Amino acid sequence: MLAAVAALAPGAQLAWEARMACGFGACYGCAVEIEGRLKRLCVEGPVLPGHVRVQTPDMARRDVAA
Amino acid sequence: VILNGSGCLDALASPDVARQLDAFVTKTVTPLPREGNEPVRIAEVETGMLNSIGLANPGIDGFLAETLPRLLELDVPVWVSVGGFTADDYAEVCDRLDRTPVDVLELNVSCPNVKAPNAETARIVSAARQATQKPVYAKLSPALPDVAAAAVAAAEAGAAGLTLVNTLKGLSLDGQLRPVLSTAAGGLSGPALRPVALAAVHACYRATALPIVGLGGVSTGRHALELFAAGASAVAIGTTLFADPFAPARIRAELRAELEALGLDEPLQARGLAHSNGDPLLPDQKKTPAN
Repeated sequence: MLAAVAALAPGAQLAWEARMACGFGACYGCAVEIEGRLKRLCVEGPVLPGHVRVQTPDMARRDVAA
Repeated sequence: VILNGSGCLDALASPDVARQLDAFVTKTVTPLPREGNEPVRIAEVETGMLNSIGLANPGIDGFLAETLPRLLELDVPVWVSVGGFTADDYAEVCDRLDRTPVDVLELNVSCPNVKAPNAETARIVSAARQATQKPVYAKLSPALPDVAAAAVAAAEAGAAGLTLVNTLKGLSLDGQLRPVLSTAAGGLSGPALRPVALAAVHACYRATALPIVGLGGVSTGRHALELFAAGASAVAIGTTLFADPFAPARIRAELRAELEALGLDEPLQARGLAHSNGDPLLPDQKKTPAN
């Protein structure tokens, strides 16, 4: 859904989600692909501008199902 | 006597948390930078959590250039967790850290799946010892067939201490009965690990004379006290930090109260109490207070 919002409104600020253990950058558990690199969503985001490319495991699974 | 478990705290992101500690243990550093495993990397389970981070780290070059100088500014003693895939990897990282002000090098030796884990542990410790003058601690897996034998092997190879324990392997399945983690199994930590850690510390205290950092599911002062009693000379807090970053100060206060109740002044006086037979070393609990 966030990807669809980004397509409609490139200026939107999107709040992404990932499983987080600590939420303050310690555990590296919430790493997702941001602009092609695995980065901690809790410190890089979780709110990112709509033009930033984000790939989460949930999205990947949906792609496989589609 | 209170440290953090490696990988459970970023001292640069949370300096106030790190300042509660007697020493800060870094996330494991490997020779080359590693991006880590694909997500999903963590899963919550009834008795703790699973993780499969995959040793994400900047590599020794990046660590020395970017991370270490800023860590040293915190004025908290720094222990560096050292990782690798061969004994040469460990030796390389230890060599590079030898001339830094780091206090201790903790070898993330967790190879329960190799054919001769004790010999492999000894090989890694020995390679590290040849690469550095610094004290080298061996962090052992509780999944070893005989953790005390591995501890003896590490001691004979020149380890200055032990860190007990690393995680156990666990698996969690999602609603579709597929593994939650991208790597399927991951490291189990938290409350489930506490009796496992106590047993490992207890066995290794009997088998070696080395100092022991005990960790696994510590979330209260009583938990810390039990690790000292089993034979630890320091304790580390791991998974608990994720839920309660200020746990170290709280646990320190609780531990002090636990020790006072036993008539003890400092944690090391409780070391090994679980091993005493016969003479009661603890004050009689039923005794009425004198006044």
